[in-house]
Amino acid sequence: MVFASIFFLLFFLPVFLSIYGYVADRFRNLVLLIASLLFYAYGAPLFIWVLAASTFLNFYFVRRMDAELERSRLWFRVSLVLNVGLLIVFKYANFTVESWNAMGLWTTGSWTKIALPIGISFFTFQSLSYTIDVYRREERPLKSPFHYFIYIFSFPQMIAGPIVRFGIVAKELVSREFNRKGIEEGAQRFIIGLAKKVIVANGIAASFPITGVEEWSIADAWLALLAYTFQIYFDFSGYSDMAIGLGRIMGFHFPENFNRPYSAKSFTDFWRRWHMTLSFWMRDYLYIGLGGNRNGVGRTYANLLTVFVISGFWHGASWNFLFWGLYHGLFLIIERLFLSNLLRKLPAFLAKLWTFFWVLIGWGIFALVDDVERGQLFGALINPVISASQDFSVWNEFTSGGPSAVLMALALLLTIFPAYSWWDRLVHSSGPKWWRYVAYSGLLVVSLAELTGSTFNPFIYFRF
Amino acid sequence: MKNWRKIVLGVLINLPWLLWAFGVPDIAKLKGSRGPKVKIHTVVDQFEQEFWGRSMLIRLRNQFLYSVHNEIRARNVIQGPTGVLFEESYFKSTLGWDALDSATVSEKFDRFKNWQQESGVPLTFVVVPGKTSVVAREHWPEKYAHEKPTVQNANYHAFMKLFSSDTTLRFLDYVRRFNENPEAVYTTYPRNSVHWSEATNMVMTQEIVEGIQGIQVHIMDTTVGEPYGTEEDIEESMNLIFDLEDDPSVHFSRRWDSIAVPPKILIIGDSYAWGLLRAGLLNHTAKGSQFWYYNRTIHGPQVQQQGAHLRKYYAWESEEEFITTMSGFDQIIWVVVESNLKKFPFEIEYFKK
Repeated sequence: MVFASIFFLLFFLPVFLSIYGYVADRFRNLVLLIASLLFYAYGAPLFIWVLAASTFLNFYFVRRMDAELERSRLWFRVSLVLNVGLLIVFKYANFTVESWNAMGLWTTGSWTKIALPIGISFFTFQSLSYTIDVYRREERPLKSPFHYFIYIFSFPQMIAGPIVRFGIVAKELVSREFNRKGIEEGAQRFIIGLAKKVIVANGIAASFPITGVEEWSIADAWLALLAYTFQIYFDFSGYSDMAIGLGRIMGFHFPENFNRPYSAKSFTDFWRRWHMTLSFWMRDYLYIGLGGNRNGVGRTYANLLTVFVISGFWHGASWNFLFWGLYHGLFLIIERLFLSNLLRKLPAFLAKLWTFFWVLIGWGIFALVDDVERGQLFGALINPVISASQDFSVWNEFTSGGPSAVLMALALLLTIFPAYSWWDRLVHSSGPKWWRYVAYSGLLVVSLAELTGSTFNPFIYFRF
Repeated sequence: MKNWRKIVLGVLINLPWLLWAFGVPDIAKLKGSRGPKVKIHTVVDQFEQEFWGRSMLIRLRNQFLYSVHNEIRARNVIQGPTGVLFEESYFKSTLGWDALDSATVSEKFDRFKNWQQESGVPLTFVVVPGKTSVVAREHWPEKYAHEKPTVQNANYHAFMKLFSSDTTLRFLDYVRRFNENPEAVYTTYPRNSVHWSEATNMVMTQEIVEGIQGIQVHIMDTTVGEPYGTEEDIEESMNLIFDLEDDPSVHFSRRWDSIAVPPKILIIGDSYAWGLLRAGLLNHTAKGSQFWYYNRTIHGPQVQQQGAHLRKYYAWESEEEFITTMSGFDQIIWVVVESNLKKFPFEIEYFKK
């Protein structure tokens, strides 16, 4: 199930919130857990047992790790093997076998493809966060597997993040406030996220396809790449807003995941603003674990590259994700070598433009799994020759000033002036309180209308 | 939060599924073409297609897209610069883009003639102009306004050459009549409709009936009023919230006369043939009179399973059985709009050779 679906918005969520709101405090976690299991089981009923068993085992291993000080390292490794092993088997086994086959290394074996459980990457990182935080003695382990299940499975963040580190919500897992302030703030945040996803991201995706184009024109290629750049941001940040909002309604305080990433002045800055919960997870658990910048310049660069290659690969089992991670890692190294100093001397808007341009190119690597399609796109981006067989349909539609042009303009506007604070200022700064309710209700109705009227509703981050 | 507020909020957010579950009809139900039908496998699919309020949400989106971007959310519907709505296939027909080759036309005509001869039933054939054949080019959308026809109304001309040489059938050619007399009374195609006006339809009905012994229809008096019948059918398919500007519409009263044992009539045709039913023809003919819509579904005042698949309804095993059924009627009326001539004579897939 995804948040931006009619069934979730008009049945699952209202029923859940009604029950959650009416039961006594002590039953709320139970309601949340049942709803979360149903939410997950709706899309992947078989995987729920695998993930539940793994969650239960991890809880047990971490308890042992905490109780047996002399063997804590052993239990820590067992937990790592369990979590990382699960991710490797489900997410990367198919890719590994296909790559071996392609290289002629395993031509005789037969292989049954393994299906990918939804949200396995987020699931694994949250489990690892619990293990590592307890191992480092930064947090005490939970006493009850029930609360651990809530941490892992709670439906607002399970499918597509944000990656909520254990320490951030450890206390709220056991006790949190469910009150009017939280409901209002959460609902508003949720509606903003829904609108970003449904109106902007889906609208752009429908108008500017980046796959299936037979012969790109240079204009269509650049437009499609720009559109994808906006689409992925509004899609993912919209989903994060919805998750944060839902959490807030229930009394959780999930961490922010985006902070105007396309206004970054460098790649280093970009990764402090884009998918922040992943960046910080990688920094705190992997980069620092590898030694960070404590072992000389060469080792620091190697660590950076390792972290970014793994980060890229985390997004999907395909070479393009790995190259995308490598691309970003290399830019970070170049910035450390000399580029940061240059960028700092530039006027802010030029530094932003420079960074945006190269991030945009990076999305070209990220967007297309198929090598041939990717080659065609990049070929078209640098081919100024125009021929009659080339596709100009997107460019023509865009320049006619139709809905797609308005959406791109809206995306640009919301990227420069971040959606939430912009809307927040407009709605909250002045006027009577009812105006706020009217504004948010209106945005919700428009989002629902868009979702209902258009059957096109892909969610990019579902596969990760 | 106070309890009453909790209750109000709880009811409000659950309203769409509660009303759906209790079977409360949706407001502002959708009409007309809504795109490909979505397959429903589970109760979740059903809910997503039928929840209470869905129609209004779709209308809201359609209205926004139409009002702000002039984008029409109905399949193949296009609007001209003066606001006249069209269905795109009619342009293709008028511009001759859907022309059949002469061998296919002859083959189709021979098949039709064979049915006619084998059944031995008197036949009236009515050919109706599409909206684009009648409405002047200044009202056509930019996309087609400057297109030159390959052969204007190619299928119409090819078929008419064959029909006009056949003296065994009664032939009403409204295409020629409208072209020869563009100022004819009641020839208007309402701006928001794909079909001709209800008044034109009544005139056609009256003329068809003139050739059938045993029934008569008289138009009594006329007034001008709001559109009705199919006079806003394209507009309805756009599923907007607000009404579009309309042309004035001619309303009339009519009187049917029929003898004690009126003829048993079979109408075969496309959507224009529905006009004969709306005018009341089958209510004043013998019991058992029927309408075979595209030779696909069966309709009529006495038909038990309205809209049933024709071949299944009669359990025909062969084309001969189909012809035998036709021969049980006293009069057959074919009504075909020129853009549908490419589908004529609506062959039943089962009988195709």
